Amino acid sequence: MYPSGHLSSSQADEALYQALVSDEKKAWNTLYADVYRRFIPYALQRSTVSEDDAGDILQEAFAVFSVNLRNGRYQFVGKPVGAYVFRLCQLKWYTFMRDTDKPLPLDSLRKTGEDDDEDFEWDLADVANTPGGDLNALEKAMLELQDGCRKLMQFFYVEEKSLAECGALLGIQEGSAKVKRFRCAQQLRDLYFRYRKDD
Amino acid sequence: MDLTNELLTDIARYLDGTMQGPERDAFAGRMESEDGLRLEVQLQQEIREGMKILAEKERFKAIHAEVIGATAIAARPVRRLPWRPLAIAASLALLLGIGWWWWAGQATDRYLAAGPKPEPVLLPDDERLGASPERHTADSLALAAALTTLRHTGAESAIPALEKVASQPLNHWTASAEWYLAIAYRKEGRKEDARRLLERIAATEGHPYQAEAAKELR
Repeated sequence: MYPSGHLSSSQADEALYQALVSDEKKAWNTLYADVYRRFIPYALQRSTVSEDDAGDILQEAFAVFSVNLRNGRYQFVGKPVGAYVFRLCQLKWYTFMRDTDKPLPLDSLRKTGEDDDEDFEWDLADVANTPGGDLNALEKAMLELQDGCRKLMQFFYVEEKSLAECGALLGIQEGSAKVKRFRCAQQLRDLYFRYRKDD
Repeated sequence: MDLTNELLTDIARYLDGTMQGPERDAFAGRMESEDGLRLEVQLQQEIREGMKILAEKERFKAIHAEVIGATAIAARPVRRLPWRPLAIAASLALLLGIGWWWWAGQATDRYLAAGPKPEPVLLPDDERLGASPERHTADSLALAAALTTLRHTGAESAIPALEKVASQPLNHWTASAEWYLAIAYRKEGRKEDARRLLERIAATEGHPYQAEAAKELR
């Protein structure tokens, strides 16, 4: 709940949403703490996932939520924000268990009598369309790039900097930055294509 | 479709929204008719969003260290209870005829499986407990971590963590920690410590586990 005390539950959720849109650190910390408290015991009780892996799943779900929030894929519709992230965690957890050959029954994503109602306010279909493709493949592909290329790809894809800015940051001319950006992007694309699971 | 420098630039402009108007419409029209272009845009979007997610993940690792690490609970190893030794221990317990202890264990596990009760929503002017939201958050996290230890590692490891939470200024979570501390004491065979704590909980008006403590003392 953020901020607590003087607002109704729905108003507090909307206030939290607005604070997250404004990228307020305190709001992110509060939300993280809230979902951590609910998801980690939830996953540990229902599977053989380690606490470290559960934490990694939680952080990835938060990263997806943050990107969804910025690109407008996530919109506040009156439901608790934490419930959306919790559902993302569940999906990531299910995928992790499946990919590590520890499949969970589909029922593990459905509500049981003991679960907190709030955590199931979002349908799985609402959160299933998550971006990002195969993150493991992308991480692997990025590791194979040389330092200069990796930096340039960060500037280009993550920070969306112009070619002039990329050149200035790398200490090269804009024209050189354009050629280098293309070569690095092509290399990253080919590596990603090679490692991507469904190809 | 072969990726060219110009195409990479166009796709980037299309995805970041800087390509506008008729140029954007024409590009979208090409995507509808050219499978290769559409797939290339999808691939670039996957890479772009994936890179952002990976970057954001690093940010949340830092938040994790700050928020969870601050309560000194993150790194405690979780050891799963081995089934075979548990089964042997349970058989021995039955053979020794300590059925009462088995019964108490069942009740304890039911309480553990249920997890702590949610914090009640306070009215705006209700300042009974007086703790800051940050304090509540830290205490609830510390309790969650201690319960994870209690469930997966054992009472002996969980007791110091529960004692620490229970010693903090009174709020819903520190009061809940007292209840789980009584359960942990009981699991460790510290019957007298458990009884004293249960008596205190049962005597505390408004304690979230007052009724349960009274029931356990009967």
